[in-house]
Amino acid sequence: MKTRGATRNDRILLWGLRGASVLASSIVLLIVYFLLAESLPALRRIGIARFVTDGDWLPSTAEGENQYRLVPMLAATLLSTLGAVLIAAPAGLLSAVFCHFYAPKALATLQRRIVELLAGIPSVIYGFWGLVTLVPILQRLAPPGQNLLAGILVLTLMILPTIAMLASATLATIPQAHLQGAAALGLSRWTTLRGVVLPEAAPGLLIALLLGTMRAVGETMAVLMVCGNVVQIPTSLFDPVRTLTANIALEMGYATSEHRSVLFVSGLALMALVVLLIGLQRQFRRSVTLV
Amino acid sequence: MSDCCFEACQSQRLPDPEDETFLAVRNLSVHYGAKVALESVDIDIQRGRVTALIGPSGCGKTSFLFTLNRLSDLIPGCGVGGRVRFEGTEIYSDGVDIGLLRANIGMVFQKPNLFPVSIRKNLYLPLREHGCPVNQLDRRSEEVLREVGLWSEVSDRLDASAHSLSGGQQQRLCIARALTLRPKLLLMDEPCSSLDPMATDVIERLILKMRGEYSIVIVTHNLAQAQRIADDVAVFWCHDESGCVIESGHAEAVFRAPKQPDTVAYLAGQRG
Ligand SMILES: Nc1ncnc2c1ncn2[C@@H]1O[C@H](COP(=O)(O)OP(=O)(O)O)[C@@H](O)[C@H]1O
Ligand SMILES: [Mg+2]
Repeated sequence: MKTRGATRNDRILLWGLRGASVLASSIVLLIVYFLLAESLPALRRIGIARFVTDGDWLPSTAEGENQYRLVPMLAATLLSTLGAVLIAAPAGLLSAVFCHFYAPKALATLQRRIVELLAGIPSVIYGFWGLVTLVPILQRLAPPGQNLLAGILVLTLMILPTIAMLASATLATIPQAHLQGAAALGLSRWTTLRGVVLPEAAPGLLIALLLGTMRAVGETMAVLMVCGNVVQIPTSLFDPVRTLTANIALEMGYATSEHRSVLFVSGLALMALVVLLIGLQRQFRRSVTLV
Repeated sequence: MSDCCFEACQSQRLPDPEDETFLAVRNLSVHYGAKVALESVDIDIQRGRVTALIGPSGCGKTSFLFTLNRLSDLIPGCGVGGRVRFEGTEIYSDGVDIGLLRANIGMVFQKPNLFPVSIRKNLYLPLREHGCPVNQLDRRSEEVLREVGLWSEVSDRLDASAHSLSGGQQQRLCIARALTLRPKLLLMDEPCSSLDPMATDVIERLILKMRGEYSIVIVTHNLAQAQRIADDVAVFWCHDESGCVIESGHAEAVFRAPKQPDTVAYLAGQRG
């Protein structure tokens, strides 16, 4: 009787799990399908080459002589992400390491709470803060103050808690036995970190970096508020830029026909970027876990 | 209060240690927060001998080992009282070089705890840390692997993950790793408890081979094993939830003619 009930519950659970995984994967497939379907007219009629070779971004001219240069937006996305990751990755990882291996307990707890809180702040708030605090400061350096640097700094603040929190969660999984083993051999904290903790935590730390990077790539509202939104390839940190995400948000409301389809193409480009990042992360993980 | 427990523990008191005593422990106590895990332990450990610590679980044998290389420093809330004198140095006095202490007192844990890197790196890490010249790393690694009888088994895959070894091999590599630093004293906490009888036998013979050359303190639950390998024995016991040493001395004497009634009961119970 009892075992029968148990097997029935098992079966219900199994079907529930199957259903959930089918649902999850079909949502991804549907999104990709719609992106492709909506981009297809542009890809067919305009062709990928023109997104690079066109002279400018003029998506809705009256004469129908539209130009669709996506390169400046792609550059803005890549540069703002790169800048933010270059600052936030070391800062986030170091803060997690400090928290776990160096900080006194009370300080570590306080820091963890603050980081958790920061990670939960909605991105529009970061944008708001950037606009009223950061941009005026940058304006004094180089008007108008809404520029690539502002975007990088706001993104840095957004992804730093993400990276620090996930890195911290990874470091918490290092078995006590390994730390005791290292201590029993008289290893210094530095050797323990490099020789024992890092190899063990590398995959998790990579995931932390990946999620932080993806958050920066996909961030829309905050960068839209502080970057100035001029379509151009920046030549300095003080040039205003427009990211792919900001472009979609700014223009989707009124875009029609071809223009609209091109915006979907830029969405597709964002997806491709994320897939590329995941691939790179896997490749990299394979090479670090083999040491 | 402590007098009463001292009575209950019936532990022997030893005179102040002489300078040439290898390892002298006096009035040692360990507590975790408010819980007293170990009380008034007096014991002398002799150089070049195998000392077995026996007794029921939870009587502070692991806690005792952890005080000897100050690994107890790592455990939050753990406090240690009393004296531990290792080769004339009070290890709980200020200014003790803990790194050096732990290089001199190696430890093997209950479960193999190899680092998640290659076999080679597991041995290099302590060697490098303690200043082994780069051109000596391989020679010293081979030496210790031969000592624990692993060389023929792993010489062709030193760069494989240490976790790809079997449990018994892992534990022997842990011993090899501890031996890289040529410790004067080796602490072993139930090194065979997670191993099958064959692997246990290999380790046991290894310990017999090391006796004389190394000084070893080993915790074991296996009385037959203790009888086979130990020169000296200390019996740990629990009184009112706190542990103490009720009897210690030459293995033969303790096993043949235990003085304490608890020891008699424990030995009889274990034998069946
Ligand atoms: N980290 C710890 N925190 C709190 N209590 C502990 C800790 N480690 C051990 N104890 C307690 O100390 C006592 C002795 O434990 P232990 O030294 O592991 O004994 P044994 O090795 O003889 O089994 C036990 O009652 C155990 O519950
Ligand atoms: Mg134990």
